[in-house]
Amino acid sequence: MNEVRGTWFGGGHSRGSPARLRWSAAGMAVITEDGLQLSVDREKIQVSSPLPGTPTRIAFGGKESFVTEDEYGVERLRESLALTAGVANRIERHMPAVIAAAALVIALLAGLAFWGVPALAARLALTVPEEVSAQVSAALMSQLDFFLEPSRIAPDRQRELEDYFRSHGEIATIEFREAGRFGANAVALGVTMVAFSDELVNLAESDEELLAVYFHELGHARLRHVEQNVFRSSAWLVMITVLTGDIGAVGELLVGLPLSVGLSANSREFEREADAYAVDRLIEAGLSPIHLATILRKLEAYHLGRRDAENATGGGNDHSPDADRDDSATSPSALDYLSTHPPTEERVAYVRSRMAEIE
Amino acid sequence: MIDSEKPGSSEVESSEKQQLATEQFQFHGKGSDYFRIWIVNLLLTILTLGIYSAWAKVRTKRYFYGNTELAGDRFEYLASPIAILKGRLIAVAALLAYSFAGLISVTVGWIAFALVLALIPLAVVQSRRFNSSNSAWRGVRFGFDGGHKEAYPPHLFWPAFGFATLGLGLPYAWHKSNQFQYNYYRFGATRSNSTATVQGFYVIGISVVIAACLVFALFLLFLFSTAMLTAMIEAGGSQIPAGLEYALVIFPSVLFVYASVAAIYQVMFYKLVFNNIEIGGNRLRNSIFSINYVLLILSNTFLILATFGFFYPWAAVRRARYLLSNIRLEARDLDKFAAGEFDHASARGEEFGEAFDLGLGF
Repeated sequence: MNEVRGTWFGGGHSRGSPARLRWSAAGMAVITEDGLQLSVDREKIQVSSPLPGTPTRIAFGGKESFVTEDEYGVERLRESLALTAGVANRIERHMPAVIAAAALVIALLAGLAFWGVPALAARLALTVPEEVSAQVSAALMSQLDFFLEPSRIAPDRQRELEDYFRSHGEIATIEFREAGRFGANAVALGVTMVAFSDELVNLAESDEELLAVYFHELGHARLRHVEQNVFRSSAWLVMITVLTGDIGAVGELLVGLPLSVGLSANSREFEREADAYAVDRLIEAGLSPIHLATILRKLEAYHLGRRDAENATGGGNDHSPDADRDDSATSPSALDYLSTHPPTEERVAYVRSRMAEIE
Repeated sequence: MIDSEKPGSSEVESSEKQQLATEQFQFHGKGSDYFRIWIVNLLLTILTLGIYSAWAKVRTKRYFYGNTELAGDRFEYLASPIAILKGRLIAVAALLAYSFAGLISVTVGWIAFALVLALIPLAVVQSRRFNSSNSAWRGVRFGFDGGHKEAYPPHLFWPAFGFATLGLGLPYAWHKSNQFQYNYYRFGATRSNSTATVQGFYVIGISVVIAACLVFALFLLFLFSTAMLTAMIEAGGSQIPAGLEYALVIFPSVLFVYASVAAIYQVMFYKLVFNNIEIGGNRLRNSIFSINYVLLILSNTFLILATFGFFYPWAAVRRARYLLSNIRLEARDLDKFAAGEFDHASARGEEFGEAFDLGLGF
């Protein structure tokens, strides 16, 4: 004869009575201190799954329940009912398994951030039809237009540049805008659209420099970087929502950290890929890759100057939603790894190394 | 247990003398136990690509409910993970649709936004019904009787009114939301009701604005002094990069301001809401002390940051223990609550997939 002590709740009223659950080969019964004796159907018995430090609730198919804190008693009961513990309980019972679980969580989150999500996004990005991407570009452009002004560059000059760019690589749409506080910049807005700011066109001293920028943006477009970013952030959004539903609002930090590190590391990786693409195409066109280095240096000097001017006047920071912010100079430069572009020095060094290869 | 007589108790006009016993809530959870549960939940959730999250939620709630004791008995959480999984799948589908809607076109994005707003009150009611009918104490389930139509004013109209009046109407919106929440809760067949007044919510609103101004002023002062220091160092020839300044000074300071104001707001809100809940002649009382709670939240936040999130289980347990050890029930009679007649209905509703949990935190 086995027994567990606990409390019996009839389910009709909020009053329990101390009771014992007894079982033997012959049967199972609950005996309360008030003298009530109820035999229990073994088939209908439901034992709540074991959880560290939590009372066990045993139900019998109706409103009645028996609650006990006697862990050993419950274990014997589970044995006699041939109930096995779930995977979760088997891990949480053993400290080495718990430590292994913690290590595995860290490894998995890091793996997802640096490999899993990017790989998935790269695959999915290729499946996006060009028409859909064009719609996305148009939507992004119309959102950007809230902050931008129509271009002041003469239409003839615009057409001249477009023809020049297109003769070296086709793309559906090339746009020009006056960017105001965003300054000299160019963006790829999906596989079909590249946009230049007037400030950038004016900053360049030759069309070859602009072509270098065009090739960089064309790299972003052809390599589907915008689409990849969309998939990466939605994948993380879903993951964070699902995971933090249970680990609590602050646990978001744990999951959110790889997101920000991962995303910014990825955007630096995209910049490198786009730079490599631009250098390849410049060489292909019979031009020197130095044009890319030249315009990168000019952009850096330009943005540093603007930052100093902004600091003097207390201007705000810009948050353009595109994939190609040339703000490595204005964003926190000490946390280089967390910023969106590799440092200009590194990018220029890359161009020089490629030039050395040719010679 | 301290027995005390409360003169002038106006709830029930009864000829017999009302004995009021003070029952203290107690939390028995331990950080080390919850850590085991939490890390296994996290692991299995990642390995199953989120499917396990429904089971994880049930296990977490069972742990916190099962370790909360009132008058000698623990609370119980009885939800089925499958019902939660259904809700989760719907929520994820909606979230995906919503995040892609904005990309298709601006108009579609706005339509999706309006749709989400229109569905929020329904989700709140479903979620409350689900959670309350799956919570129990002494074998009797809780319940929520608020209807879908009644949910629209407190969750759509009044918050909109609050924003339209630039926040002046927001405390009134809180009041409406509180009434909707606590006038429809029941334990078994007994409805609760809230005696919190609009004035109370306005006091909170004004206090939070004042607290925010004070903490923000302190923060500015602190920032100003660091800026001076930086300028002095830079004048001396060395350079402090802008990013380092951001990482070491501004980010923690913003977090400090945010955590302090949030803690002050929470304490005041808890006090007003919980001290005014009455159910069957029993009343909740709490004695949360603002500064202690603010210190607890600040130290929790700091430790969670310092451990990359791994302190979370201990933080959650500390917080629960502090809050519950400060809540008492002025109990008239805890033995005579009858089970609700709708208990079976809500259990059946779950089978129909009617009562699923959307798992969204409002």
